[in-house]
Amino acid sequence: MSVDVAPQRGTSTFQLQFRRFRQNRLAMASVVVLVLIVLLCFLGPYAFPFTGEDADFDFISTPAEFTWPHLFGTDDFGRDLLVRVLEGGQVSLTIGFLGALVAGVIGVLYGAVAGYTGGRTDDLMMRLVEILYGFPYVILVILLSLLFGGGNVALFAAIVFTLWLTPAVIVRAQAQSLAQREFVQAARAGGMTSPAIVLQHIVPNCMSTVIVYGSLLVPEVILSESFLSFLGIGIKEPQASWGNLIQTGTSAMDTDLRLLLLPGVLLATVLLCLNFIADGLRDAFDPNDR
Amino acid sequence: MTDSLLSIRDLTVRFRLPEREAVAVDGVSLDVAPGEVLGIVGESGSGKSQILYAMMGLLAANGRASGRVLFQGQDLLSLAPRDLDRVRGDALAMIFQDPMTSLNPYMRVGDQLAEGLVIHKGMGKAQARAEAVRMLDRVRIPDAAARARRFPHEFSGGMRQRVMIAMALLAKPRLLLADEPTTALDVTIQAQVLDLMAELGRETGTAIILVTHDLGVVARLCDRVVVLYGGRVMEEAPAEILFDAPAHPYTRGLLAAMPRLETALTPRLGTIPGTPRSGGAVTGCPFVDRCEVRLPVCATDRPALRDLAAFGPGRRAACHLTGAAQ
Amino acid sequence: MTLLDVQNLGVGYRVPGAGPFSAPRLLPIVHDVSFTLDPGRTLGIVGESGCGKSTLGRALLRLIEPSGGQVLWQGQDMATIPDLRRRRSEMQIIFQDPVAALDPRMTLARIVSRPLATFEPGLSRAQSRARAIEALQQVGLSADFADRYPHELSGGQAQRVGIARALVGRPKLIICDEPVSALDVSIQAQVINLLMDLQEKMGLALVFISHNLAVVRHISHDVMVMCLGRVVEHAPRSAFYARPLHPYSQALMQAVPEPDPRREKGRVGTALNGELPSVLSPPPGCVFASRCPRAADLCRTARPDLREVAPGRLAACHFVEDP
Repeated sequence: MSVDVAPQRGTSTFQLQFRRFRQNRLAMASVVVLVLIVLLCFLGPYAFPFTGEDADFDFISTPAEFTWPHLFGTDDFGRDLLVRVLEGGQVSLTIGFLGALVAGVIGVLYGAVAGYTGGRTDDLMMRLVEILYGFPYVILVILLSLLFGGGNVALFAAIVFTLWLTPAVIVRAQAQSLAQREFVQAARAGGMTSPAIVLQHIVPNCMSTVIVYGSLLVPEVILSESFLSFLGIGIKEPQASWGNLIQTGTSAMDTDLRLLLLPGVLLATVLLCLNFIADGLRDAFDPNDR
Repeated sequence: MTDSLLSIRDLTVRFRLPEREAVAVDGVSLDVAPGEVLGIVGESGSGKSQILYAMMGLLAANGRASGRVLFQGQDLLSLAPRDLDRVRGDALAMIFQDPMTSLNPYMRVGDQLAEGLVIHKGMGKAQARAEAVRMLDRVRIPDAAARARRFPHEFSGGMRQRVMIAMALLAKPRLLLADEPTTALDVTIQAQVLDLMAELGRETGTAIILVTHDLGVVARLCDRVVVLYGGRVMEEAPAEILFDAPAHPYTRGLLAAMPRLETALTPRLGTIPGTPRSGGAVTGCPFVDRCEVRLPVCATDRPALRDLAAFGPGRRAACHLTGAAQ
Repeated sequence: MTLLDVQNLGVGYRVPGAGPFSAPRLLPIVHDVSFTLDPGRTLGIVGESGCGKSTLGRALLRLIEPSGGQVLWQGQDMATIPDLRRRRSEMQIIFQDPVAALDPRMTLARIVSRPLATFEPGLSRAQSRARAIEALQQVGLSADFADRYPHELSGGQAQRVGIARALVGRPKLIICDEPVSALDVSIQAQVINLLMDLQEKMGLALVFISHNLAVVRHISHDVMVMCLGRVVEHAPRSAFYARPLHPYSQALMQAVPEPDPRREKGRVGTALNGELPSVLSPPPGCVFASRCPRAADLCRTARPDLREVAPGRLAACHFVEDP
């Protein structure tokens, strides 16, 4: 019997996908822009001798004259706008990425277990999801927020609690089809326990979907937070977040557009970048190239 | 040849991939006479299906065909899409491998059949539908009139394939291209469908090109056979002769590797070592790394497809060894 | 001693009831299958779509729970074996679609060695890897395949990896579920020869499930023909192929195209009429009655039992010919 020799050094699935992502110029540019914004938000404020909460009574409501130190002027409390926006970015981005991560992990595990197990367990688990889906979003968040004590952490928990549902549904569908694949049957023939199969076979093969969806989840969380803060039930003053900054900016829209524009443009840019990145990831994970 | 229905000269099909260019069909030339059944046999990577797709203008977006495909006096490869549309579905028809996905699930079967007649023959709808029912009956779909109003998912695989044959033959094409039409079917159903194709082909005088990997199917249906490997023609012969006395080492290898029902059992099946390769990017014979009787010249010089008059009429092979024996 | 003793095995799927409030019913896929298998022997199971052969294969390993009958493994009822998960090293399976049977995200070494984590947990990583490489070499893949991924393999190579994975636990039985149907002819031959070599070397028992009568002829010692979940014929290989007794077996033989044009052209027009019967609504009498050229009224109303019609040969037919 002839012995086969392996062909030239190949690449793992992950390497192939990474290469395809790199070739997508728009996605790569978005990554660069996003990283810059993140760095700006987290490191930028150190360049200034004040924080976003220091009120400088000498300079109340000064316009954006691009003079140091108040490059974009101040708000009507004398707080530097730029620094406030950057600090707001810290809060929004942290909640966004962290929230997406947590909601993603919960959703993926829930969905993978439901989809793989099937049967009555799956039915029960999905009924629960459907019931939660039925609650009006804002009411649910307010209730949960109050339940968890009403602080920022409570807000975070409330947002995550509502957002894990969709990843769960998506992953469940994937897990269901994976459960029928022969390599999963082979794993069962190989004596693997169900939890081991879920963690080692099902979840890793859902990762492409999860990553793509996760990158769309981040803007959702940020928008959620912004929306809630906009309604007044999110991050409370004096702490800044893009949401409450936009809220203030909107009420001052007629008189002072820059209060709205600065946080608004940054938020829009981050959301746009995340969408392009998600697109790029989806193309990179294209099923033609498993 | 002047009396050929179809004349393919030097057909080459290339696909542009991100890292390189793949050559699926590498300079294939062949002829089909009117009413003849030609079998194209090959394994994966041989390019056999791509020949049909190139002819019908169904190549994927990154595929390019070059060469000439003369059919009824026109070069199919150089036709504008509109002109190709007039030929496709009318004089030139095709049936595909997967009966599950070949029919539109949202259209009633009778309507799908009638569509072709309305478009190509300008028939009225009522007349086309009547023709469709007649054809369904002809392909032995029980209760044809009622079945014509049903949807594809209500038909079994074998019945769907017969519907496809009905659709293809309704317009009375001069040439039918069949891409592995029975591969997805159970063996008793396969026999039915092959018999049907043979019968109808004879009745309507339609020539058939049957692409398959199954030498048994070829033996059942085909008058002549072309053996493809790595995008190139390895051997061409009338069916009886090919199986009795194959001239090319690849054909011999394929025949030895096929398990049989009738002949004496050997302890192990004959094998061709290695894996089937795709076409292109090879100097010399594409079969060289798997051939057990290769000569040094096989790696450097590509053997041309030569007439082997000494072996019998209509025989050609691309092999240095066989050619030399002449 | 006999490795596998299958007695009246039945497998059914639960399907929703006819109306929204009716109880779910059991749709039988496999009915009343019995056979035995000794070490070093191959049982070929043939049939067309819907005959239940794949379901039967999986039920033998209890990957699907049987709904009736029992399977004895080395004399013990599999339903009562205490640590079945561990014992699975002795009975393995290889699948039809070789690439789908491998987790695309794992290296070949990991795929092949993974079962050892369950079967021989005491092994170190290095030892597991060494066993995996040994298995890969047994199937003709060199050691440098260990760190490759499934998408880098051809169909034939992927199938060999599947076989290597089945071999790593040193099994006594391998269920082969249409292992060569998706492969090219020249590769089919390689894989079949490989299985036969391994059987000879290791005394493996094989259950070879296929729709291809010619392949089954080559590799099997005994043949079982199934139709719509029931066994219609069961015979030793040579006797079966020399003279199949059941009309369905005969029809199958007739229908398989041989690479012999003179013979094949002569067979045109002999194909069976009618469609494969539906699993959802099986006919009351003999499973083959709707298509059988010899069917009589008795066949349509009374189902024939599988009985011994000649020494060592079983057939389920009212009008079986003399062997």
